[in-house]
Amino acid sequence: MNNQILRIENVSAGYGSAMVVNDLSFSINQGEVLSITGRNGVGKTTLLRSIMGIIPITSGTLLFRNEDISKKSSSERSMLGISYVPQGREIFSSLSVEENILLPILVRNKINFKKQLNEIYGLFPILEEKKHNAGNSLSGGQQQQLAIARALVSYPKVILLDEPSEGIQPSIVKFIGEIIKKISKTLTTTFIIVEQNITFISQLNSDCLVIEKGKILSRIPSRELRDIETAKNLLSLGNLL
Amino acid sequence: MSLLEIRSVSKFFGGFAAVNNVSLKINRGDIRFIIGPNGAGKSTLFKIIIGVHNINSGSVLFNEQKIEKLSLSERINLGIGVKFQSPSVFNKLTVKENFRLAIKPKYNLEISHFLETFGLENDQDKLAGDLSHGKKQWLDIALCSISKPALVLLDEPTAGLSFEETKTTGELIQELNQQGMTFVIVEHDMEILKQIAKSVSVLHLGKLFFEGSPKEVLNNKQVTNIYLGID
Repeated sequence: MNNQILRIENVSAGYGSAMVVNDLSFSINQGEVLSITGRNGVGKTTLLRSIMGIIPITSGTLLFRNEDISKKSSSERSMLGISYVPQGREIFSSLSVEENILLPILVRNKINFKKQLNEIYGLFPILEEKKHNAGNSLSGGQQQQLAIARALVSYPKVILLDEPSEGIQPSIVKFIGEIIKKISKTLTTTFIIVEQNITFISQLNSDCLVIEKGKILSRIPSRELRDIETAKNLLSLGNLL
Repeated sequence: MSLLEIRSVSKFFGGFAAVNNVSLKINRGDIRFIIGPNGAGKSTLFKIIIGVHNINSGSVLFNEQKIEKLSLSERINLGIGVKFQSPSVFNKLTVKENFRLAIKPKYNLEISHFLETFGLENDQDKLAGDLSHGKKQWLDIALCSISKPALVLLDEPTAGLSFEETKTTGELIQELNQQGMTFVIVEHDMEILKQIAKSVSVLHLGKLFFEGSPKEVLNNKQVTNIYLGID
């Protein structure tokens, strides 16, 4: 497709001789949101880390805007426009909220960042309210918003999110879901989201890949996931295996 | 008679009241969920019940006995089981060895029934560190409940679990509850709350904000505003 931004072709990756991602293929368009679910240990996080270049792939190809990025480093992929928000968020606790947000653009030597900050604060008002507070003074939900804001500030083409709803109260989870949908539409940012929370997946209005033993078991279309009970049935391993 | 009673308890950190004059009564047989926004005081209250935090005022009663001055191990010996958010199993011991460690010497318990209940019968000779995250969580719940404590406290037992593993966790808790154990559970996952909660306490800004049945809590507009969010 013309607006395809990322293509994963027969990718395998793992740790030592243990392949955790196994000959896996899928593609995603610009501005699309794709969720990925599955049990613990089936390769979801490893897949995100291999797309980001933190783990080298052992075979297959990663194409970003039709360019082969399989051999590129994490920082090169980041400069091309791929951002990663790991599970646990990894906020710099002793830096202020605003310093956390600005880090990705400061390291790129860009000095005019007022526009980006205004846009970020427009999306996440709580971050403006707390911009001078230390990163570790925020609640879990606020830290997740900060982590997404930090990933977004350099206007990446693709954002990889690992379990953004974990340990966060339901109202903030809903807010984050709405923000993701909004950003994907207005900025045409692509999101790949590893998630176990079915309510959140259902809210995202996205197709969902179910992964099992490093392979794609099924790709469930978004229209079939809108009803939470139907989503639970469709994403149930018992029904898929 | 309440199994656990929190009576006008306050806990200050400097000038900040993390828990502010909170009173709760938890009866035998209950599965009580404690929910609330981040920073509501849930974790502080959890740590007060198990004795990690001293309190500034009020009292904590277990079986009508004041326990607020007792250590964590003394509380466990009275019949309180505790599971923290991250599984605290011994990764370099096998599942069976973990069970043996958890059983008090005075009890000569048969562990095969427990292994079966928790779906670990085929994993008993595996190192706990080699179990999936879900099975580690179940092993941890099994370890804190094997001595059949009257009260089991669980801090986010479904954290990091898939929805199917979450459902299984709910079924395990219900089975232990039917065997007579009372549960106090701190959680953000509303699916397991809907599945097994018998009563719910909502904390907000260190105070008890609302209390009721799961249905009452989920349908309460003020709880929706502060915690659940509007659909």
